[in-house]
Amino acid sequence: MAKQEAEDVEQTLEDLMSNAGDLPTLPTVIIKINKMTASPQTNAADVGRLISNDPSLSAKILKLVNSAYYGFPRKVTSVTKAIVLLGFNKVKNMALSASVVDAFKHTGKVSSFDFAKFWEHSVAAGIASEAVAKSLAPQCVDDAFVGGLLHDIGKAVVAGCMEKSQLAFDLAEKKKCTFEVAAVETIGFDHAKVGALLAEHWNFPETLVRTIRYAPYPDRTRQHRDVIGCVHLANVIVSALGFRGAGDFAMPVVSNSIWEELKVTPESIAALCEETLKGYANAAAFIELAKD
Amino acid sequence: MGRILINEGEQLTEALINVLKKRGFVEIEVRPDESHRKETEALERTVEKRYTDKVHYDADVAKLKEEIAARFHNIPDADGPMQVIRVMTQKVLIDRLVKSKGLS
Repeated sequence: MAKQEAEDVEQTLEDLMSNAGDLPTLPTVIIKINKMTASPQTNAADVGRLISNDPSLSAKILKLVNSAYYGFPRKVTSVTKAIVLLGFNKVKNMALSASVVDAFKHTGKVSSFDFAKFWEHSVAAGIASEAVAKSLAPQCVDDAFVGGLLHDIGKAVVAGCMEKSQLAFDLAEKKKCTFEVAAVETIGFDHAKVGALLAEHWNFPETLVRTIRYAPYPDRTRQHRDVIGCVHLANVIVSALGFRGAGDFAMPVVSNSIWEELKVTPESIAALCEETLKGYANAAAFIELAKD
Repeated sequence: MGRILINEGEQLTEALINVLKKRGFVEIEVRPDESHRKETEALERTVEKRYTDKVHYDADVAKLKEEIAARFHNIPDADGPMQVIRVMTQKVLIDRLVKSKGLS
């Protein structure tokens, strides 16, 4: 890329991030949670109390915890109980996911961008990422769902805030290619970069920022490769199952090194497809969250 | 003189390129790795054995196969992992379709 062109791209990104009026905002409670969890002194009870003080967020979390996806035999009635059952990280990620979904329900500047379809792909990717992690990389199971759910968040930002991104969506359809290829060609950067900048702007944990940044290109990083690999593979699986990513008119291609690192086999792919479809059938509560 | 055919996966080192140039080759054509394609075909045959029954193999199954093939329009035959994903996704989706139609 020529120097001038690179500077223009950086300027566009800077404008996008500094134009706070256009960017969706997250509730204060999430900002506080992100700050609290960065501190080693914070414990699960503190975060539980903080979430419980926000009735709207608590209600959303309890709706998800009591959904068929988790299948608890008895109704979970408090956030504290949810933390005991699911663990602190999962509930924290659930709060974060619910708030991001809430922030992106509007229709944006790209008329052809279907937010409902976008969230269907994202929820499927979240479920598939968790399934991949459970079976092939259990050490990152807590971070996999939220990573999968938010891996494409940059697409919602460009579709919501950048009129020019219509060109990328149009080109992807015309050339029958993935959105990232078309975006780099038309606007000079891809949604992964925008998504990671937004995640940083919102003080998201570093693992999540890097997952959003590198899920389409896992071979460009050596850090957090387990969770990034899970989300990367999950995105390919859900696209193959028919949950096409917004603006994608070609299959994303799996990285050979991730395939080897996760020790994927034909049998594991079949099991992951089954697990994803089963999980998705029980994930109505997650889809509704985006439509409510 | 001009074109030489080399196998996919072979490393194109600086030294090899220099030797080829000296011998007058100006273009290199990469021969796709046949082993990946053969592995995929074998996997596909194993999976397909399940659908030889005419009752199970109806128009909806054929349509689903076409849709999946269209999703993979940009994937070369020699891409082993992607072809495994294609074949196994197809297996799972067809199994579910056959089951939902009460045919299995």
